[in-house]
Amino acid sequence: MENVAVIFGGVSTEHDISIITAISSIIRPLQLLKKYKIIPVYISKQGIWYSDPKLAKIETFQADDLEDNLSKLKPISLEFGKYLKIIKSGVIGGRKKYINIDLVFPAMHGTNGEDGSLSGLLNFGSVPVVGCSLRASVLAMDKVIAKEIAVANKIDVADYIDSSKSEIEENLEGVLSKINKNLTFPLFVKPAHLGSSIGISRVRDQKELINGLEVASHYDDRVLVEEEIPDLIEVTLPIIGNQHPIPALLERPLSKVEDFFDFDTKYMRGGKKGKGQKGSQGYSEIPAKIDKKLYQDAISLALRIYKIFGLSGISRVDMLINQKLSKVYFNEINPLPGGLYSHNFNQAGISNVELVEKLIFYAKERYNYQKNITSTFSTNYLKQF
Amino acid sequence: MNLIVDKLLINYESTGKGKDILLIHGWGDDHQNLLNVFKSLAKKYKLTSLDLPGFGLSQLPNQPFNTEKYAKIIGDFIQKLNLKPEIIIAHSFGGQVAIYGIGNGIIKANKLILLASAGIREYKQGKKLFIKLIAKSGKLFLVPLPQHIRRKVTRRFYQKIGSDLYLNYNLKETLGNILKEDVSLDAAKINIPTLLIYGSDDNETPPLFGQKFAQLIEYSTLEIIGHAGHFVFIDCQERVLKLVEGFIND
Amino acid sequence: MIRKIINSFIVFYSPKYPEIISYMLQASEYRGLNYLVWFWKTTDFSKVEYRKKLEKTKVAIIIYNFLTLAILIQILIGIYLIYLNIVGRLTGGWAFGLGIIVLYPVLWSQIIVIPVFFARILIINPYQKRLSKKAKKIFADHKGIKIAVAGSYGKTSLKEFLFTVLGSQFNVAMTPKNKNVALSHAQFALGLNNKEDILIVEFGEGEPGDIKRFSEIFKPDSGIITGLSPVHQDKYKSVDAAAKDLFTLEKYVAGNKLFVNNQSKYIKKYIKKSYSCFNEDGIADYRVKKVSSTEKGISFDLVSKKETLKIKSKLLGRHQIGPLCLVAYLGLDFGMEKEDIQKAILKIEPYEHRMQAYTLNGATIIDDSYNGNIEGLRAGLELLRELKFRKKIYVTPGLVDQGSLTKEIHQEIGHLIAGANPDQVVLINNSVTHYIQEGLTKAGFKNDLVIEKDPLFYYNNLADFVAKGDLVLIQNDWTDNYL
Repeated sequence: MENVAVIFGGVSTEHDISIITAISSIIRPLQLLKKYKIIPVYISKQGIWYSDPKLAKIETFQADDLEDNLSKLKPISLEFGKYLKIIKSGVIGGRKKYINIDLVFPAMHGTNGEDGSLSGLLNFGSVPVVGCSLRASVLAMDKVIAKEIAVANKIDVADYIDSSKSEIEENLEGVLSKINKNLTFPLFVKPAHLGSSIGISRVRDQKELINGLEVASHYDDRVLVEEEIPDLIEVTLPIIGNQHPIPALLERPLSKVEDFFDFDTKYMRGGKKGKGQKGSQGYSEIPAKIDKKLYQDAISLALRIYKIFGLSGISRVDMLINQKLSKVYFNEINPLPGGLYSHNFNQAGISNVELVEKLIFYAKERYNYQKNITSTFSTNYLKQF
Repeated sequence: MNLIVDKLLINYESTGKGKDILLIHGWGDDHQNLLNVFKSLAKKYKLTSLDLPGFGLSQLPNQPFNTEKYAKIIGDFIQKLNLKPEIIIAHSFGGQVAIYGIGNGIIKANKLILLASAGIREYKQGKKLFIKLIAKSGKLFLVPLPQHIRRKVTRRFYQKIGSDLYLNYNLKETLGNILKEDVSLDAAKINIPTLLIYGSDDNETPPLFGQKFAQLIEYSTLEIIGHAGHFVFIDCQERVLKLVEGFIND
Repeated sequence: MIRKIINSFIVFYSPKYPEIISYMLQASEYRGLNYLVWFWKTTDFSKVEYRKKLEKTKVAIIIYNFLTLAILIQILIGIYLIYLNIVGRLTGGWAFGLGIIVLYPVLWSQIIVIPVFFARILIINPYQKRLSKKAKKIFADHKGIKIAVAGSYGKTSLKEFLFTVLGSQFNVAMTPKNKNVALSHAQFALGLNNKEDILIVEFGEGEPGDIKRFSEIFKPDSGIITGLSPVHQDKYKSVDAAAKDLFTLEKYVAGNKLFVNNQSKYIKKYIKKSYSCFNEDGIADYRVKKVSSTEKGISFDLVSKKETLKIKSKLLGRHQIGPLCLVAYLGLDFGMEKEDIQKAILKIEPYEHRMQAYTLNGATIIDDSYNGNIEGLRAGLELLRELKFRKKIYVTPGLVDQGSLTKEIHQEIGHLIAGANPDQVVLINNSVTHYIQEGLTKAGFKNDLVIEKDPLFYYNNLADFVAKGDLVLIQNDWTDNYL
């Protein structure tokens, strides 16, 4: 049996969501699949890596004495090279135990994980990794760069201004006047790299804008300010695949504008309570009941984005629709949507078990594809030197 | 919603339209309980309820706080959000902070409602001292044990005696400060109409505290509600709501 | 195997032991012999209560407490003997003492049968006799029309259908759910007030002569035989014996007042001309036309020269057409308007866990886990075959207690499954699994086959296996009696 390492947790504002994604949407379906040995790898809020069968159970993380239990476990380390290996120090005599990893299934959200850092680290391990490559993740997770790439490809986006934390701290007046000159209220202020809704404010005037800039730059060194699209319908499309991406169903979150950015968290909460995917029903419409042409436009826009950014495995593309203008705008990309967005894939006819199986297939496909692209070659430079 | 106050991220929730009412929760609690109980006031007022630093979704203070620091954070929060609190409703430790803040002009409001407010230290000293003694001597026995077991045992112990102390390990020193501070003198400086509500069965902040505060605050009314504990506004929700509405409309 | 035995051993001496014994007694309906056979067949006692638990009835609690007390006394005696040995008053007392302590599980699992047996002969049986006498008189004096429902399967649901439809206009009383033995009939009789228009009594057959006994007491005006299955549980030696017993009903009701579902092939040879038969094609001079059968229900027209009834029902599967025809026919016979009959039939709800459909993660799940006979299985698979879905999954452990026919029946089940051609078959692993597999192979089944060793795990996580466009049919619950 191949060893599949599921890596989750992490030093991220979305630490807890990552645990739920890992355990309920990845580990359990993988267990049901019975084809792989699952090695849970948990990164604590402090950034320490652990691996233990107990970490595959949600109860472990719900217990009050989580920290006590963790401190009983020995931190692990990784070995790179021909194989990726997890090194556990044994209980008796400190003898080391090596576990070969055949495939990695990352379940990290947000910074220090979804943003490409994990993907980059694993590049050293010559092992298939589920999800997006280092490059795609970096581009997708930077909301400013993502918008610039979209604009360069003549894809509509909401008007925006970006600024840095230092600029905001040192020259707030300048930033404000730039925003006032180019954009009209109401605006959204967002940290540029954060995956979820944390740190986002909707602001209606100058004073709220200042507060919003402070909050966003509290989380990130880069801040994005963008105009709110009027007559807005928000939609999102999860997609799987590599060169030939397969869209799930266009989904429309149904929460109020004020709290729309909490959709993910709410969905996860609802999902847990309702046991199964019942929880998502109150929060979204799958498929979105919108005009047929708009629906198609949104799907093809999302697929274009998927290709332009070189996304692979799984991603979710968020879009904004101006209902009056019948116009679809690209908003942002989520390289590893919370809970794998399995509630949507279920409606599209892909079960949780099938979803993880497909994602593993895509990881191997991408790995083999890239192995065939030469990355080392022998030279005699050294001898000539 | 979020706001940065004094470099700390503060989480808060606002609802309703009208004059401002600010809600300040107690130790170990967060903004939600108060907001849930008083949400009916949102028909006429704008309610704002915040998570104090270290609680709810607000950031943990990076150095130990005391009552004054908490009061200042609330003062800055009010200013930053442009609030003009008509009424402040504060529970337990939140009450202690509100008394300090209003008494010293850090927080401004037209009316104050204190629910089981803390801030009086002389009465429970005997019991506190006793617990402290046990805790201290208990620690001696635990020294030879590995750290995680030690922590587990102390946590069990504190849970048993129902102490707040262990609710948040990171706020231990802050709590130490808070428990040392008495706001009787600050209460004496309050000159706005104040409603004091205490539960008769409250062991944390007994009705005795209410009587003391009632003597100290010039324009105050004291209400003691029977068969109610420390979370008096949850135990006797309707009764408290009625008293509060009456006081507001007075 | 060895681990299982060790496990069993541990359970033997665990505090759960009295509960397990009480449960096993309860599950075998306090029949000493059945209980003992089960006891000696079981290798792993820790699994006995895996799916169901002891129901805390009065009798169960008495037995449980009795066992606990007896065991405690025995252990105390053992300890006392050892004590005597230690203080030097009884040489070899330790051996006796230890022996007594060690032996308690085996001892009490056997001894318990004796009081249960005597309670049966001395208390229960005479009590039943007295009660039956009373019941007989009540039924004889009753003015209502009396309907007896018998058959090897489908009685309870047919009784419910009748109750729903006839009950919409008449004062109808029926025996409660699954209570179908003499004792419950008597209790039912005691609760009547002679104002009922119609009485419906379910005849459950346990051993030869039962139907006769019930009929003597109840004296039915008309009888219904819902079906005959090839295998009989309990005391019937053959299908013939079971059929003979069932058809004794004929002696108590007029020929045309005996309604027989002649759908199943096993029943055909016992049918006489005088009987009123009903089936998928209709009843009497009413014919079934325009059938539509989906996962949402069945609908059809019931047509005669005089009139047409448009029947619509939430029940699933064509096998329900026959019973619905009968219910409609009886409704007409009692003088109901056809509109009222149609309305009442639409109100019939599927029983829990009997061809009951619900959605899970967008998939359609048909839960027929309480089904327990091959005719029901055939009907379910027939529906599975005709429904159009992207992916069809069939889950079953096989059938309970098929006796000497176990092999044959399960090979036939294999054939039936192959005939319905689901995309995936999930067999819950047990002693008959390989027979079903043989049947599947012989019938040329080529799709995905999964042998599931942990049914609870599978059912609990079903949501992870399915998505929109999937149909899952789950049939037959495998009770632990037969593991």
